[in-house]
Amino acid sequence: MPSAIRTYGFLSAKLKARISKTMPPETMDRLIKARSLPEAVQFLRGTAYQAIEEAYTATGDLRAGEALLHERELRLYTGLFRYLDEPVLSFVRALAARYEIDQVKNAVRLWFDAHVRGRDVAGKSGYLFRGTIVNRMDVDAIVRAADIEGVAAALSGTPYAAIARAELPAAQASRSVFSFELALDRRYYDEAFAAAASLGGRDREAAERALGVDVDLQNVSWLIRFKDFYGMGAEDAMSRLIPRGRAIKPAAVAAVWDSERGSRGAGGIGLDLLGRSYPGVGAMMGGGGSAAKLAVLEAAIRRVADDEAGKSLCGYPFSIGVVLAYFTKKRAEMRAVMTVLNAKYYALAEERIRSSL
Amino acid sequence: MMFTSPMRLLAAMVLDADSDAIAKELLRLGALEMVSIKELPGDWASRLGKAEPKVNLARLVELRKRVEGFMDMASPPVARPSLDGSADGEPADLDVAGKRLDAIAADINGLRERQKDLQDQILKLGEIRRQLEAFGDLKAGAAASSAYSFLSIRAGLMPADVADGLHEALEGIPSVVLPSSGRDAAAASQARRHEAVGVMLVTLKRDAARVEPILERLGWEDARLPESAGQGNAEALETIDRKIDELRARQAACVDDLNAYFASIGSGLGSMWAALRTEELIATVRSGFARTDRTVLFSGWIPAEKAAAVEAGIRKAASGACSVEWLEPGKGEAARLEAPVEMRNPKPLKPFEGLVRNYAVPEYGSVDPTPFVAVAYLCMFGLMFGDAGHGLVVLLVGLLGLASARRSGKPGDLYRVIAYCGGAAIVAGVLFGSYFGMQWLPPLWFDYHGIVNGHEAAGSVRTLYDILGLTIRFGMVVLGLGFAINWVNLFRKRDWFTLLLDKAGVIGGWIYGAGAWAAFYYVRHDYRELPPVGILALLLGLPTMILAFKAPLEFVIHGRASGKRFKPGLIVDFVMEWIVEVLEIYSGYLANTLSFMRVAGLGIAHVSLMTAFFQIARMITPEGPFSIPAILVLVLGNALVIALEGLSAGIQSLRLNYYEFFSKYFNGTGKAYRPISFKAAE
Repeated sequence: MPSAIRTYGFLSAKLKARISKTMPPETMDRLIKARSLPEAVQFLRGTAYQAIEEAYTATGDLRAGEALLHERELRLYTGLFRYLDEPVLSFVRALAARYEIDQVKNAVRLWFDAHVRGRDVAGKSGYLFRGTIVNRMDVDAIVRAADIEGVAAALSGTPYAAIARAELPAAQASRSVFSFELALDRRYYDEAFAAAASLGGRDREAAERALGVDVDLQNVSWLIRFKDFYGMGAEDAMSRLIPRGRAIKPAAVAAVWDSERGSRGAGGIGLDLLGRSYPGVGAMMGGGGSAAKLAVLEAAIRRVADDEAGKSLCGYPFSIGVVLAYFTKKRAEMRAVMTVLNAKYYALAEERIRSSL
Repeated sequence: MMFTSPMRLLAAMVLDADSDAIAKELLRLGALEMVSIKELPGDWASRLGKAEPKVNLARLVELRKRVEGFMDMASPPVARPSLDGSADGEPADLDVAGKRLDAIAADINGLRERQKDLQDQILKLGEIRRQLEAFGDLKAGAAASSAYSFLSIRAGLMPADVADGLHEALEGIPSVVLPSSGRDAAAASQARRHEAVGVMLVTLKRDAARVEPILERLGWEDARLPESAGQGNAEALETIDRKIDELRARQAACVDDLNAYFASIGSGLGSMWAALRTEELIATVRSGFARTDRTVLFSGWIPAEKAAAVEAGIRKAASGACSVEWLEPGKGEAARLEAPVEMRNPKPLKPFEGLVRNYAVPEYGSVDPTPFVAVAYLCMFGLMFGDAGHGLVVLLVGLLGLASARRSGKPGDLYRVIAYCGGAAIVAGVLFGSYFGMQWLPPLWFDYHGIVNGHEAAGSVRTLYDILGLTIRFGMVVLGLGFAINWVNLFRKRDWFTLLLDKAGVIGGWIYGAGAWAAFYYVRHDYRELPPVGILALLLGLPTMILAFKAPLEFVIHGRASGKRFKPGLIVDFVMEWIVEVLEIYSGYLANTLSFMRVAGLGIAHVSLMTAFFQIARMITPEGPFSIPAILVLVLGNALVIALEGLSAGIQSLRLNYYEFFSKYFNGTGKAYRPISFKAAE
């Protein structure tokens, strides 16, 4: 097995150099305070998000810039493959599947909206990513598929075809793609955890910790939906949660589902479990208790993920932690920038924007 | 130029009613560095209030930044007008300015929305295109479209006289209209009867509600798709591409419209910026004023040569109703205040001030090292990068960078230094007879290339050892200059103890000079004979012994004053201090001097690299004129040497200045002089 320095020396330097281009807090603050969308976009000039500014200036279309930026990040990510050897390569490819699953979800959502819900999706496929991440697929064929079999055929050669065949009929019947997307996410985490298990000690620990926080972020949003929106029973809800979260684990949730905490809603359960695993989450929530809402819980876990990423960047540089930290931070930053810009498009107030970050 | 500018501390009192005029005048003069009146000694300052701002400074700054954002949005950006305070315009009304900026934002938003509408049409046409491509031909597409596609593909007949109007009627709706020339027999005969033409129409199903009334109005009659519809796909795709190109051109026209819009409001934005910035600066200056009921007080440092002009300006702005007092730095009420440092050099030397400031700001009243740094830096660079051709390239890079910096309004000092370095390299190249590694003209001093390559040479410099010796001598001159500057600084400070006994003082210089003489004596005697012991004892032993008295003397002069009492153990401390200082002087100065051998080292590396590239070129073309690949190697080799060696020589010259030269005399404890001014950057 090659040494950690050989495996991560170049990668660590490259990604840390890119992290140095992270948007400074004062620029983000100016972005939030901008009085209009054109003024906000102007602040992106000279930053890593200049692509959005350029696309917006040329087309007036924010999503075009976002799609361009997303494509660049994906190329950077897939470009890392050539610097890696097994077993790290398999793990990074497994992580890349997350972007691919997003690609599948976006295409299937368009197909579903048009063919099942009868909604207008004209022009929206223009933003889909059409490159290859891990598996080759034709997203346009998914969008224009005649039926479920057509979607599955468009996904043939990928692991998602079987999921489409298994889950889309029920999704069509219930007019919701939730179960399909859930199955995709479960597959992603199964693969990612399996790939993480083959890593060396220090890497495995860092990878499982980061994936655990990620799973918590997913589980907490589902938890709220299952209990508060769908009124699901404990057994049904547990069977759908991703097993390996650091805080929101099916067994732990089952233990408090019908307790006094549980009777105060999913927010109470989430807060209780998060508080046990992540010291300081309670403080972040400002004592929100059972009234804690999904957005607040998600924001708290994002903070945890960001802190974890920060620790990885400050710690031993020759580990998978740096790669994970870069993409955690980058995803969070891109999300924040796009949240602010979209809020500016809808002329939302500054306080509301800050609360959603 | 020799020393930093002498300063005076101004303390003035004016009527509150005149405070705005005074602030404006101070900004116009651009000479005062504000000092909080509360920093002056005495408890009277605590009884003063703060001058209340007349405007909301935070709002002013926010509006000014908004205006700047709009100015930068234009292509090219709207230039910021230069402020001199001469304009006597009305003070900016912040509410009006805010509303005007909101209106501009709305106008720009409207333009972006227009672009977005066009983008939506492009995306939809792109989708139609992708679907048509996937179907292979229109007929297959029509069959598929009836079932599940987003597309509606249909054929029909229209009265010939209105068919041309279909394009215009469908304006804004993503669609493709194709003439159906190969219609089937039934449709053709039908068309002939009604003088109608066949048309194929591709639209999105979602637009049906908008398309149907148009078709009805234009007399559309559905017909079967002609057999030849399969051939129409390429034409349809071409039509879509053409439409997308047209839409992109209209998007680009929106950008032109935006630039025209900025051109029309540019001067208004400039005026608004000037008014806001002027108010902001005046408010900032006023915030540094202290006040009584009817008067305001302010204080600040001013270069002595500008004091008279500033006083005249204040008296004029206050119509004589003012009290002005001047204080000397280090004396009276100014004793506890640190005077700022202004380096005052002729314009050609200004870029080198940046190199000095980059290290630290010199102490107030000390020798301004800028002229010495300029000369030393350029000599070092020239010796390390002595090639007239390479120097010419560096000079051109500097001049181009300077032109670019001027265009963008950015500071160009770095490019000036690069241009100077190019000039130094040209001079050195002419002295060494080196032009892109070739000897086009005979050297005026010595043949650097010839010596490095082992050729016979005449004159004072013949071997590599001579080059190394030359750079060591150069280093000794630089270090000697450092000693001299240090002595002048200490003399001016009346710090006699340090002047005499410090390692960079007279005693250190004595040891250094004697050591250098002894070393040259040893070299001159073929490394076999040292100077006579008696002379060595006098020149090196005596000052070394004198140094032994430094620590006890320091204790007597300074230690007792601070209440320290003598203990026998202190003798060990004195001895240890002496040993350490002697070691520092002997080993440190030897290292400092030998460090200058890097000047020769880099010069030799420069020549060696060029020689290597010429050898590679000769291996490609063993005889006669160089072939094209060989010339390519030489061009690339020259480029590589210019880039690598240029960077190395620049960095090493800086290093020698900072670590060898500055360490002898530089006391970087000064505070840079930053006057308030209309021209000052934010």
